[in-house]
Amino acid sequence: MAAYFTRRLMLALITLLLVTLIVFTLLRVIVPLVYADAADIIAAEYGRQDPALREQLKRQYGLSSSLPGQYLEFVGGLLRGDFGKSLFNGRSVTGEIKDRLPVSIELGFVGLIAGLLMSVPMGVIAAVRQDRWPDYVLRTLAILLNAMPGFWLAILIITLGSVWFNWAPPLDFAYLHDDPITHLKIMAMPALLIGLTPSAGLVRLMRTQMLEVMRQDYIRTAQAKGLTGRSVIVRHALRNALIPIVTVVGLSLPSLAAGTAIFESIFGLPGMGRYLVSAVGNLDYPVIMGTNVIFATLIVFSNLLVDLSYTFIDPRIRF
Amino acid sequence: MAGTTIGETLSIGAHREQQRPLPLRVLRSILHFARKKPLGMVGLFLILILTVAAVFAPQIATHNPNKIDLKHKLEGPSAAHWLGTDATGKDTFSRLVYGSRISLKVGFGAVALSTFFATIIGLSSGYFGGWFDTIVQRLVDAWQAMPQLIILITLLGIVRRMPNVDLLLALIIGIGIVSIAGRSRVERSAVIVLRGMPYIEAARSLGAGHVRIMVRHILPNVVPLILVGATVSLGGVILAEASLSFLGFGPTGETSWGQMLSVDGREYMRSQPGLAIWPGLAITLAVFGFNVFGDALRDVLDPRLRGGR
Repeated sequence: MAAYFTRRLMLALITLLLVTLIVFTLLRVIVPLVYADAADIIAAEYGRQDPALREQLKRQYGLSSSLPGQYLEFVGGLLRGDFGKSLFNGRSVTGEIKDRLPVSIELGFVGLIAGLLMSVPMGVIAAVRQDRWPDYVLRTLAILLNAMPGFWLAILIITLGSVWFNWAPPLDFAYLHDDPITHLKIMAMPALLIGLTPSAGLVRLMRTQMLEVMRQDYIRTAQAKGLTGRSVIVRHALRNALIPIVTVVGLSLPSLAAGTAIFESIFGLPGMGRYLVSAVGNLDYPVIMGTNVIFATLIVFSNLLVDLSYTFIDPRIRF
Repeated sequence: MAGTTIGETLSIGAHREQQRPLPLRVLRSILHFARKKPLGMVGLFLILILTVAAVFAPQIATHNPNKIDLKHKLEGPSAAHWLGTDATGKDTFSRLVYGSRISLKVGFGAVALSTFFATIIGLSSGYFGGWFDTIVQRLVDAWQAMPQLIILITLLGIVRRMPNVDLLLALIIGIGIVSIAGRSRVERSAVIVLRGMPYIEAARSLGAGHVRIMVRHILPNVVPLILVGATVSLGGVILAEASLSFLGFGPTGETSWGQMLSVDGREYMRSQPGLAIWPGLAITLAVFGFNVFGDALRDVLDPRLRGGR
């Protein structure tokens, strides 16, 4: 167990190292070579081509040392929790992330839980009623959902909701600690929509897994000793069918991160995804680097949790 | 088995059909496919419509998709504008027709790219095994654990600020590279099974080199799997393109479905809900088409599933 965990931790660190290298190479090596570095962009903001100002800005943003030196400085800053300052409003990226991260995590986490609560029972029902109408209805729904872009569904709900019911998502965001009820009203719809994206695949997987497990000998044994159908399904079949679901949940984490970018933009939520989208438009390097690293860290460590959860779901699995 | 083509794999009585002329054989296998997989046939039909729309866009479209006509803005469906017009009077139907071009260009471009590299990675990693496989697979693990769309947003957002960059090409390369990792996994696992087959050992004992064995003896047997993987991933690629265009990171100047749904037009959707409905429906049908066709193709071509449910 300890050895396995160490190996996974190493892998997580390698992944993070790769992400920082990619982002760093992109923003500090490639873009400055073919376009402009941070100092150029700020100097252009001031509308000046002053070499002295450029030099001063370069020193200020740590761009004058060698590239490996810059990278070490960047990683060192990350380790201290210092992501630098936004090039545009001068605000600390770390402070901004502290405000925005809870919004994105809530969105992703509630979304994922909602998705599981929808798809697992749907998959089980489809399997138990195989080749009867509940199965057909749920499978058709899953196939359609799989092809439907989540952002389209969001737009349809907003547009038709306003046309038919005169309903619109609240415009002003409220934090959970300020106004819990308004907060929940705002977050419910986007979280539900984020959860729908992975659930299409989950329903289908859950169904095939249940069908496979239900054919096992131990299920027949459980039925033979007179257990009720519900008990057999929930206690004997479901637990065994859940294992691949956990794997897929781990694999769907990156798309969950992308979902926050999309749904935060649609519903105007002050989260990490929207922060990145607007920073990219301004070429706000420190913000872009910070958000990318935070997203990668979140995914990598959630994946670690997913791996560990195997042991709780299936006692046979020992690392 | 080493030289099986798709046509033969598709029809069960292939050996008896060798004498018939090729067009007839192809037709028969298509009919067989249609009878066994009606939903897959629906998918194929949707793909055909999409392809025709993309290829013959200038002939099918009733208007110039980029022509601004403020006199006829935000109109409902009419004889002149079948699906109405948007806030600047552009014809929605014509924009939908032209939008299929971006989806297919990005779809086929990105999938071709990812297929090429995934095949090289999957083939070599599965064939050689050992420490090489371990290192490659850990890198693939890391690649899959990255926030891929987030990195794409970063990449495309920066690229579009630079002068003289082909944004469409950037989109194709970006999405293509992102989808390599997952696809190489499937091919690797198939190669590992084949590697241990007696006919590979026979080829090796006859003096065939590694490259020859991989290309001439293993590759032909994973071609069906590669085709299935390519078809299934097309749907996902089109969805990714739509999402990126929706967020404003698609190619500028060209009409794409995602961009038609983007935030700029949202205030007008209330007065003209068609603007919110049609582009999304087009994306959904395109993705649906590739998904169900890919699924049906998998059922027919993947030996592990043949004869199963």
